[in-house]
Amino acid sequence: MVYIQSWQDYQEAAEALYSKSPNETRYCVKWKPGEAKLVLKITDNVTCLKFKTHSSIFLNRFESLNHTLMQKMQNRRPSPPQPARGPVPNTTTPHDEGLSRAGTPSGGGSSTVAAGSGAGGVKKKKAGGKKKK
Amino acid sequence: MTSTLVDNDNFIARLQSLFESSNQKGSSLWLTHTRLSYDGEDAAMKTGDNETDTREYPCLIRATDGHTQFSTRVEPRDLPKFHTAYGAVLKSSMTALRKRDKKREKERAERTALRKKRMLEPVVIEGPKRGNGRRKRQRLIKFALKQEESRKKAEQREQKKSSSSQKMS
Repeated sequence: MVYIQSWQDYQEAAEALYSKSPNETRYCVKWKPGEAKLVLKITDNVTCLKFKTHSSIFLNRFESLNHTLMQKMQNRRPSPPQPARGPVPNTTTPHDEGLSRAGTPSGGGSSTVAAGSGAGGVKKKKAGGKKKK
Repeated sequence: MTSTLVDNDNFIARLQSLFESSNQKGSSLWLTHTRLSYDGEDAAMKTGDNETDTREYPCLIRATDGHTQFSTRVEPRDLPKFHTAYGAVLKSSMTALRKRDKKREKERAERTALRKKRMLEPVVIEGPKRGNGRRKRQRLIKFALKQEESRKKAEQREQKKSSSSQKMS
């Protein structure tokens, strides 16, 4: 059981641990009102990382970490098949690209969406998430 | 203790009341988040997918205070809405966390600075070896030894930190 002192390190380590073994990892939060202590624990039953705090500065960061971890758990944005991701968007006219980008719902599956995201970089977050794996 | 599965809104409401009662009574509260790869009947098989894990999973969230336990499943499409409500509940109930004020931080910084100074400043062992001031001299010798040890430990810690940070980067 390892307590980590800096929030930045904890955040990076937690995300790395989750990416490593997403099916065995669980993220637990303990709130002790008696001594107003918040403890975060993330473990994949092999390594365990904890973070404790008494101060409220971390509330926002804690919430954003919650969000990213839950997103990872759900494994959103399944990567659509993108065989023609590279050259296709370059050959399409800018008008088409603009259209495809404009009409993009979240979590699209069509190749135009993927092409639009690859070329335009609007959905940079999704592309980054896919590439990381 | 039986666990009850509820839907998202119900979960948020129950969580709110759980926080309230927990804050009042001073009993602890546990929240666990995990990925739900249990697919109804069989556990989801782990196909040999190295990089192309394209499934989406619901997220299971459990809450307990040691006596009552309830849980909910969050589907991927409900996550944003759920998370805003969830985050709001958490932030509004954890108000007892101390707001770090400048005074405490300053005091802490001063204390660590003082300790560092004591460690780094070399101590001069002087005084008579025999006779009246011997005890004082012995104390200085002892302090010098301790200082040496603490310096070595601090160096080791720095080395560990730098090596681990090098490994990570």
